[in-house]
Amino acid sequence: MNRLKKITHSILAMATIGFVISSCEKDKHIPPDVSFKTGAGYTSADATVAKGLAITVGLNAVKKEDDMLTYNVSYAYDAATTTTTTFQTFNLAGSEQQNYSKDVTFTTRNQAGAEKWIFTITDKDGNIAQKQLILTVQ
Amino acid sequence: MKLYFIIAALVACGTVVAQQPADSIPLLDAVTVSGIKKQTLRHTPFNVSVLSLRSMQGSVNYNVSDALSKIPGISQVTTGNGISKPVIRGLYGNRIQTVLLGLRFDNQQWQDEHGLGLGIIGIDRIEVLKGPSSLLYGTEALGGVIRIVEENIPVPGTKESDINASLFSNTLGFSVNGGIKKNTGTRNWRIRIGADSHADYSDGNGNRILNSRFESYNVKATLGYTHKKWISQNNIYSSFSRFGFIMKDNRDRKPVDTRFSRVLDGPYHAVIFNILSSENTLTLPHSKLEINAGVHSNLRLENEGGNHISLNMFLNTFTYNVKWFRELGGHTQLVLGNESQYQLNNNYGSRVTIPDASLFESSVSAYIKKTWTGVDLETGLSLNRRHLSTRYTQNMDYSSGDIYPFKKWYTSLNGNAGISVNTPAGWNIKLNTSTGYRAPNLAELSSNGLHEGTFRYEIGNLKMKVEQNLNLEANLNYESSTVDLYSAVYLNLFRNYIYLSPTGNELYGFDIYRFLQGNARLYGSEISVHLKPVKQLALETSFSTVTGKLFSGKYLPFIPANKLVTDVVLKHATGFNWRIGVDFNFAQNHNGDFETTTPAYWLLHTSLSYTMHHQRDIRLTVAGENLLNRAYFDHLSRFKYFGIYNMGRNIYASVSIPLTKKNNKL
Repeated sequence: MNRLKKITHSILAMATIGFVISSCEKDKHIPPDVSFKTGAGYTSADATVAKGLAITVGLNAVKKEDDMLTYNVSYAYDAATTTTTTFQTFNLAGSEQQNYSKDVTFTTRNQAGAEKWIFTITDKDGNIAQKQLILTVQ
Repeated sequence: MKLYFIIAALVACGTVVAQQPADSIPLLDAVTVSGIKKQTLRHTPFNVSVLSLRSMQGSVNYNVSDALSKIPGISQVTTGNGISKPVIRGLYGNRIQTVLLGLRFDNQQWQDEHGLGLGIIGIDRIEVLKGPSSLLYGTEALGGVIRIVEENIPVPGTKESDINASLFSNTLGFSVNGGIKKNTGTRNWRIRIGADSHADYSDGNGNRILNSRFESYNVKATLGYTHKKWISQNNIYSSFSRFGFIMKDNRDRKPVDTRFSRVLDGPYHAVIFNILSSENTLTLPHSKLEINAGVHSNLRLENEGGNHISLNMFLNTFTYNVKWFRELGGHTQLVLGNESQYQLNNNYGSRVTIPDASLFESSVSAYIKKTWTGVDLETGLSLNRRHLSTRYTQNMDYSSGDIYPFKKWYTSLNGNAGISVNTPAGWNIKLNTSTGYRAPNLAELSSNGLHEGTFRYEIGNLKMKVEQNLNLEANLNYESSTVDLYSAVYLNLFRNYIYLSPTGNELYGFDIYRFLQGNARLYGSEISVHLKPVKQLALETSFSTVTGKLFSGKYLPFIPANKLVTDVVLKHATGFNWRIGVDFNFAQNHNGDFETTTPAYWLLHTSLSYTMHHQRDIRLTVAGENLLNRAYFDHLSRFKYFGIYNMGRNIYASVSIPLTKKNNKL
C-alpha cells in the first residue's frame, strides 16, 4: 500500500509540474527597426509627384531581436492591395544582418494614379518589418 | 547482378508479407479491435489494420508514424526522421484522428512540420481504422483513426517488469525503456520510463544532414481499480521532445560539430505534453456504460533560427466521452454515445501563426449492430456541433484587415452503414460506406503571414465551409493454412476539400499561397497476399495505390507513390525468424501544385530475430533498412525541396528482456 501511495503522489507531482510548465507572460515581438532616410534628395513621406519622375528613397534597418535576413522593395499600382511586384530584393549577409542601409531610385509611371512602394526587412525568425510610401502621380 | 536477380525473383514470386501484424498470423479471427465495440476483424465492416508492439520492435522504427508506414496504404510526411506525420490513403494532419489513452489526441497537427510526436513506449498495439469514421470518433476522422492501445494489465496476482533497448547505426542513436506493472486482482498499477536520443542522420551518399538530430523522454503511469461492477484505469503520460529543424534558408548556416553531437544550438522544435485520463467501465443491469474523461496539455516551443524561442503555443484540451451499450435481444446491440471537447489555445511567444482561440465541440451518436449467422450489419448516425472563437492576439498581424477576432459555428451530420459477410470456406467480404467531416482549422481560416522556414506568404479564408467526405469501400479477405489474402478498393469523395494553392502573385517578395476549397476525390486499393507453402516459409507481398484529384483536374499534394513490398520470411522452431525483402516505390508523376515529380526507388531491408523461450522470453533483433545505401527522395519528404535525401543505410539492433519470470506470482 505504501508503494501505491508513493506512486500516486509521484503522479500528482508530475501532473502539477506539467500543467504549470508554461509561462503566463507573453513575449513581445520586437521587429527590426526600419526608417526612411531624410534629407536632401530623399523622399521619406507620402507625396504628390509628377509623371515620369525619378524618386530616391533611402532605408535604414537595425537588428533588434534577430539577425536580419532579406531586404525587398515591392510596388503596387492604384488599388492593388493584396499583391505586389518585386522591384529589387537581396539576401543580407555578414554585418548587413546587424545594420543595413540602402538607397533605391525608381521612376514613377507616365500616367496618373497611386503608387504604393513597400520596403520590407525580414528577420531570421520570419518576422516582417515594413515602411511604405504612397505616391500620388499627377 | 546476382543480387538484382534475387530481388527480381522476390518481387516476382508474389507479394505479400504485407507488413500486417507480425509473423503472418491469421488476422481475421485472432485480432480483436476496438471500434464502437471490441470485436474480431472478421466481424466489423470497417477496414482495420493492426500493428503489434512485437512487430514494431522487429523492424527499424523511430516513432509511431515510422512504424505505421509499414502497413499497406499508410505512409508518412516527413521533415527529417524525427518529425513525421502518418498519412492514411493520402490524408494526414487534421484529417486523421489519433486516440490515445481512450481520448482524442491533439498535438497541434494543423501544420505540416508538426509531427505526431509519439513513440512506441508502453503500448501493446496500434489499430488503424482506414476511411472516415466521424460517427465513432468525431471531427477530423475523415481519413482514418489511429488508435493506440496501451500495454496489457498483468494477469491477476502477478507482476511483470522488463527493459527494452535499441541501437540505430545511422543516427548513432538509442532508444531505451523499462517498465514495471502489478495486478493484485482489485488494484493494478504500472510505470514505464523511456528515452530516445539520436544524432544527425546521413543520406545514401554519406552526407550528414546537419541539425536533423532529436531526442525524446517519456513517462507513463497507470493506476487501476477493479470492483464488482466498476473497472477504472487512470493514466498519466508525460513527454518532452526536441527536434532539430532544417529550413529553406538555414541549412548551410549551422557550424559542423562532432558526428555524435546532440546539441540543439540551431533551430529546433520542443514539444511538452501531459495527459491525464480516466477510463471507466460500469456494468449496469442489462447494459454497460463506458466513461472516459481527461485533460491534455500541449506546449509547443519553436526556435526558428533567432537563437531563442519565438513561437510558444499552449493548447489545453478537456475531453469526455460516454458510451452506453445495451443488448436489445435477437443478436442486436444498441450503442448511444456522447463526446464533448473544450480546447483553449494561447500564444505566449513573440511570433504568432494562429490566434488565441477557444473551441467547443459536442456530438451525440446512435449505433446499432445486428448479427445473423455469418453476417454482421452495422449502422449509425451522429450529430456534431462545433464552436470556434478567436481572441485579439498580441503580435498577430491584423494589418490586412481580413483577419480579425471571430466566432463560428459548424454543424455536421454523419453516418455509416456496413456489412461483413463470412463464408464457411474462409472468405470475408465487407462493404462499408461512411462519412466524415472536418471544420477548417485556425491556420486555414486565419493565416496571414509568412510560413516559417518556407518563405511562403499564406493567407486563410474566414468564409471556409466545413469539409465533408463520403467513402465507399469493399474488402475481400481470405485466410487458409496456405494462403491469406487481404484486399480493399475505395472511393473517397470530398466536398469542400481544403488545400493550399499558389496564386502566382507575390507580396513583399514572397509568393502568395491561399487556402482554397474544391470538391475532390481520392481512390485507390490495397492488396496483400501471404503464401505459406510450408510452416517455416512465408512469401508476403503487398501493393498499395492512391490517387487524389480535385474535380478541376489538379492533383492533390502529398499523395504517396504506389508501393510494392515483397518479403520472404523464414521461421525456425528454435525461435529464429528471418525476413528479407524489397520496398519498391514507383515514380510519383501526379504532383500537386507546388510539388515536383519524384523518381522511383527501391530499398532492400532485412531483419533477424531470435526469441529465447525460457522462463523469460528474451527477444533479440538485428535489422537493416536501405541496405544498399541508396540516395533517394521520398515523395512525401519535405526535405526533398531543400535537396536533402532520405536516410541511407541504417542497421538496428534491439533487445527486449523480461526481468520477471512468466506469471510471476506476488
